[in-house]
Amino acid sequence: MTDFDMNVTMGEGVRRLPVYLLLDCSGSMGGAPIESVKRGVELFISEVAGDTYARQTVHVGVITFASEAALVTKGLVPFDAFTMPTLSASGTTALGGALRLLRQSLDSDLRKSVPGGEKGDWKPLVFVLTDGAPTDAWQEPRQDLLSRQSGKVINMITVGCGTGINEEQIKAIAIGPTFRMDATESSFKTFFQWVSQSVKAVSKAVSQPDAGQAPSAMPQPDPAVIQYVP
Amino acid sequence: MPTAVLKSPPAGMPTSIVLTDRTRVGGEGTVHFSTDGKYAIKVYHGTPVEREKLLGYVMTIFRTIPRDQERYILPPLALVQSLNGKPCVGFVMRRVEDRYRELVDFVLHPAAAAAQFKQGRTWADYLKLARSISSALVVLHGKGCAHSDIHFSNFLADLRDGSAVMLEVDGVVVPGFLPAQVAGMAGFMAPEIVHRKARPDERTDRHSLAVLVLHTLLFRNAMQPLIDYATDPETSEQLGWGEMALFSEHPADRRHRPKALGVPLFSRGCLSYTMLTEELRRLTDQAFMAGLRVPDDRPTSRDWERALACAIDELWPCTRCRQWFPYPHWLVPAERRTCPFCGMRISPPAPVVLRLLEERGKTGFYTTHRRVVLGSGFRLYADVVDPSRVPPPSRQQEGHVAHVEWDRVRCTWRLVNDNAGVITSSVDGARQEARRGSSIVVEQGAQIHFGPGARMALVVQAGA
Repeated sequence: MTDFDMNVTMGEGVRRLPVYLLLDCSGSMGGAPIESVKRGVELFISEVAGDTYARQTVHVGVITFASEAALVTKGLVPFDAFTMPTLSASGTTALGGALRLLRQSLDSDLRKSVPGGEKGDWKPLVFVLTDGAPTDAWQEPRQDLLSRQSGKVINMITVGCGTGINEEQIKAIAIGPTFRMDATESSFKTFFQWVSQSVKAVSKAVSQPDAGQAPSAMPQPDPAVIQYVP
Repeated sequence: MPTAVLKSPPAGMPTSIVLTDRTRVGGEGTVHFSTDGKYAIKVYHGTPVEREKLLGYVMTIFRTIPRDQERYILPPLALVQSLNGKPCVGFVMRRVEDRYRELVDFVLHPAAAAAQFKQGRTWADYLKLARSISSALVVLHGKGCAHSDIHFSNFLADLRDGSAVMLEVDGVVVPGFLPAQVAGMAGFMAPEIVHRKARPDERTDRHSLAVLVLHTLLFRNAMQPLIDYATDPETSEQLGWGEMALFSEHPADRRHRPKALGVPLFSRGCLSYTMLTEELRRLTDQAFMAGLRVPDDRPTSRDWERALACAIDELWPCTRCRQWFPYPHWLVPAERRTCPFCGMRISPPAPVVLRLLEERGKTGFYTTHRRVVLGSGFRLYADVVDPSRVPPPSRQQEGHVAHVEWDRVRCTWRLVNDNAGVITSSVDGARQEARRGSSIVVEQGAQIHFGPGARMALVVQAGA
């Protein structure tokens, strides 16, 4: 039996949990920070791969932003088809462009719930990681995201890292809770561990009765490393 | 090293337990493990002192359970009064060996099962697992308790021997006595719980058990809604599992019918409950159609345990993919009989199919639901002819009364007597007899007798 070709599926009817990672790849992330982010994404992949629930429901979209923003996964891909994207740091910080791409992907890749139709998606989880101020116009794409009526609300978390972070400004950009941390290797590791734990917790929570409370299932980050910006 | 001090432990248990640093944090509490590998302790978050009284009741309920039932559950053995000198609320239980993993890892979807098949496990192992799960519920329900949170993360399983251990016994429900601590997991809760019309009890457990048994056998949730019922996913889920709950294979309403239903599993397919034995199909109909909204009509854990135990005698191997599945003797003509895993037509010679009959007083024999499928080298075990028994969890120690051989000359199956008694077969007035070491030809329609007081077999398919 072990040599028999088994072409099997992950089953039908499971609601997808979209997870977006918006990663700053501007020049200031060069060197150690971008290497830490790469290791972080690898950690995320291995953590989620080890979780039976998460692996079945999680679909990933990665948007990088430097002088330009790019949806490197070309859409929302099933976790098992998600591979480590190529990440390199150079240029400026087109966070506005990243928010615009996020909105486009939400519009085109997200399945809406229509009574009588095939199942739509859970509310997406979005993590934004940036180390500096945006160099493009972000107000309009942010407003577009906020006023997006056609789709679901999103759970978005923004984390500013390093010394170049202006708390006031990042708070103004963020939709949802905002955090800050330093740009050491261990901080990036803690960040991606938290992302992985959150994704696993939410994917399990949506299997629980009060699925509407999904965000409350998210663990809090280690306050010694990642501080909440009130 | 962290240490837990026990509150007046029963004889044979230490007064304090040294723990490793490894912990498992759950919703209700944290589980720690003893350094000697014998015990696990669960310490509740906070100090819910009211919980201690309830634990006391639970301990009393499970103080005496038969030895052969102990392996299925992890009841609280003693209370924990402090952890590292700090007062706490918790209890000690037996530690499950490391070879066990959460059931979800084996059954969540066909890909999870295929990973096990690649390591040499077969569907027969899943059948044993489903039986162990039912046995755990039989223990609880036999004590007048309900579990109230049956799902695939609350069982630890080892597929190599088909054993399963139930977790969270500390949260058992006794209506009017021990209240429910949790509502259950979506997908497993009875519809009346989902739309908040009932509280967990033994009858809601019966629904969850049926879902879990079918999940273990088909690698999917047989009640999975496939469409949305609202624009908001949370509301849609509530409706899909609650008010609009619908069996995926309902013959008249196909809204939840998987697209790949009945396509061989190894061709990106989806197993149908129609691959199961007649008795398991009957229980499924009863659980998900007749009993879906009539909790009293749902099959009990004992019904499932028995049907799953007996299903082991109806398995047949595929010559191509080497999987085992219930031989579909009910499909006519025989050309329709294919392997549900790879789609291969079952190759001849077809097996012998016996139907078991039991003696009732002086009025003669009556037919049972049980069938036995036999091929070359298959044994007819002693438990099969004993009217007081069902197949034991393991037949390693079980004797056999006969076995089946293929007669190349006459192209028929022969039943060889391996026992001291005489086996007789009669059909249309013709009679055969076999003493130890000799055999009879298996003939269509024959009645086979294994001696006084034993079950009788009717040959419903002579094979070949």
